[in-house]
Amino acid sequence: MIKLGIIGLGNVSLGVHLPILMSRTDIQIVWIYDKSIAVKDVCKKINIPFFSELDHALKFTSPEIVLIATPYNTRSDIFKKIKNKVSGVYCEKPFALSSGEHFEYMSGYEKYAFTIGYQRRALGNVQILKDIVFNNLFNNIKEIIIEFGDLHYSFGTFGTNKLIAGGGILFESGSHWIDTALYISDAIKIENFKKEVKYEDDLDVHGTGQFDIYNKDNHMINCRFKFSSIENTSNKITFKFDNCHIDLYLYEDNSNLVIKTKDEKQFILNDYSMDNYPNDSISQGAKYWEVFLQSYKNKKISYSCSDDLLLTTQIIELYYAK
Amino acid sequence: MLNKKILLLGATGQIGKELSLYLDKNKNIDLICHARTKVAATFLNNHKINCIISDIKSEELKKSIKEADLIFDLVAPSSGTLKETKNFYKDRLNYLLDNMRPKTKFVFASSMNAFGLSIRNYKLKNYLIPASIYASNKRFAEKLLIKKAKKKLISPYIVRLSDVHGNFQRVSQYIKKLISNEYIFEIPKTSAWIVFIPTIYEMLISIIDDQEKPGQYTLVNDEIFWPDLLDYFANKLDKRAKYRILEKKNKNYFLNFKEYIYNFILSRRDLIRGNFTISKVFETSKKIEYGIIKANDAYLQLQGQKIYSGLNLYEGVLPGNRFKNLTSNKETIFKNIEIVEKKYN
Repeated sequence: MIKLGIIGLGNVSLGVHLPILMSRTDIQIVWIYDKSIAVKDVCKKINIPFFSELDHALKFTSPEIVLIATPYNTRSDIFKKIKNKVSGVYCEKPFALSSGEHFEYMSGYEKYAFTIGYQRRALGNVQILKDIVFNNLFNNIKEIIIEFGDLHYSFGTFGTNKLIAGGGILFESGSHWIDTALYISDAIKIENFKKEVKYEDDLDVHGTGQFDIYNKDNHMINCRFKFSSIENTSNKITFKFDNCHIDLYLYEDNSNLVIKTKDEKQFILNDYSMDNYPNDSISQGAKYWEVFLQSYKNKKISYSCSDDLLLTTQIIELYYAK
Repeated sequence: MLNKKILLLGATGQIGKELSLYLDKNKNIDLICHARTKVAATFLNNHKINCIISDIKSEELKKSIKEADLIFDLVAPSSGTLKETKNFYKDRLNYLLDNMRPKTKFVFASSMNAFGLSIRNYKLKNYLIPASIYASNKRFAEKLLIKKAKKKLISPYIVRLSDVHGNFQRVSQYIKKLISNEYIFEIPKTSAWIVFIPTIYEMLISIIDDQEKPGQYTLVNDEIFWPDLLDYFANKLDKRAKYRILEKKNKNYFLNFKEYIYNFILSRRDLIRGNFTISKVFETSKKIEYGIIKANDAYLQLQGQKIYSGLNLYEGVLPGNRFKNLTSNKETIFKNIEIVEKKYN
């Protein structure tokens, strides 16, 4: 049984992490820490010790793993407090604004014991697409186009405050899209980053740009992106091959991959027996936790804790560089 | 029983096709099937089964209606409003019974849905109000038949069929497909509400042999429980059926009432939340409970376990009278299916 502490019981923790962790037989949630006292009654109801001070929680018992799901601005302090007290970390995104910060947070932890919540790597569609690319079904990827956001994009409760959120649309949501594109294309290096970003109240509200991805075979793929809260986008990632392209609708639950030929014939791709599973927030979260916990238990690297997580942080750093 | 004439209406449907193979095998029966078009009759023609291809009111069919000792009507309208379908039955039953000889038999294929079953009405009993347009129409046709048959001195048999299974039945094929794909079936502990085609065949023979009294019946293989059905199909696929039997909760009136109130509140939660302040802790803990159920399901699926709960629809045993002289032994029923399968596959 792995003892686990939850740092921050906001919407994502309540809706995704807590149910998943409570459903696992190999996890014992030893405490929940949250600054908000309102969480106390919920913890009482579900029989989990509650603490409004992290130091008190850590003194009560030191868990093996902590889940960090608090806003970006709280992370630095939290990482200092848990240093040498826990052996594994699951940190929700957005994670870090710079490579320096990325390394700083991860220092002292084994690679297999540290993950960032880029859960969309676990989606059935993402895994199928990764397999297509790995097996060279349509030859090499020629180009990737990422488009996310629309006029109704919501920055959420903390998202409108730069000091709390750390960044705007790219940091909060776009990082998922970037990470997925890098993961599927098997990226090991990025170069020639160009961007044009519009800020409002110090938060990025619209950004376009491009960069080159180099994969393990040193094959170069051009990647263009657009993240916007001021105009509508197609909300998909398009992977272009020689004779077709594949559309991935990353934020749509139960969606299918769509292969389109040059003359616009469409082929819907789905895995008959598993229906592109996992295909929603709970199932992708359940799978991602499973992959991470297997890495942790077996001391082996998996996609939940591989080196390419750093590439996403590098893109974030380049995007926000003034 | 010698040279009795059976007219099968709706012979080109799923049940009709498979049933015609059984009836055609019986040398003492003069079977006539009816199809509206040549294309629809392809299966019957391929199996050299006597078939009239015509409109329902054609002279050729009228002659067969007059000559028939028993008519089995499997036809049901596939669409239409309540009024349209009622008119369909009115027109059809009037025409058929007007042209039948007195003292012959008319067997009407109704359905277990006529009991008024639905997702809410899941206890197997006779509900006062029909839960669907389909149930309403069937009840209408049943009543009309009794009234009309009395006038025309024809013996009416209303047969509320449970889910029909057989070699050519889609529902059977679907269950086989799920077994092949390693689904785990969630099944109730009760007998299955199903009937195999050989039982329908046996029913017609029993009726035509004057072994059964006119009236309203439920046709179901009571001795076949869900595990028997799944094991039978799995055996044919050389597979093992996976199922878990859901124990019926031993609920008293208080628990039933509590569950009723809970479900009532759940179904009207938006209305309640819009008009009353609900404790945040209560709402959050319910949200977590729901999330845990979803997460448990997700882990089962991720382990490759696919659950099919589509058989766990009702509670109890189907109501209604049973025919007196039909084979109830499940082994015999399964054996009868094998005989026909060997002959035609």
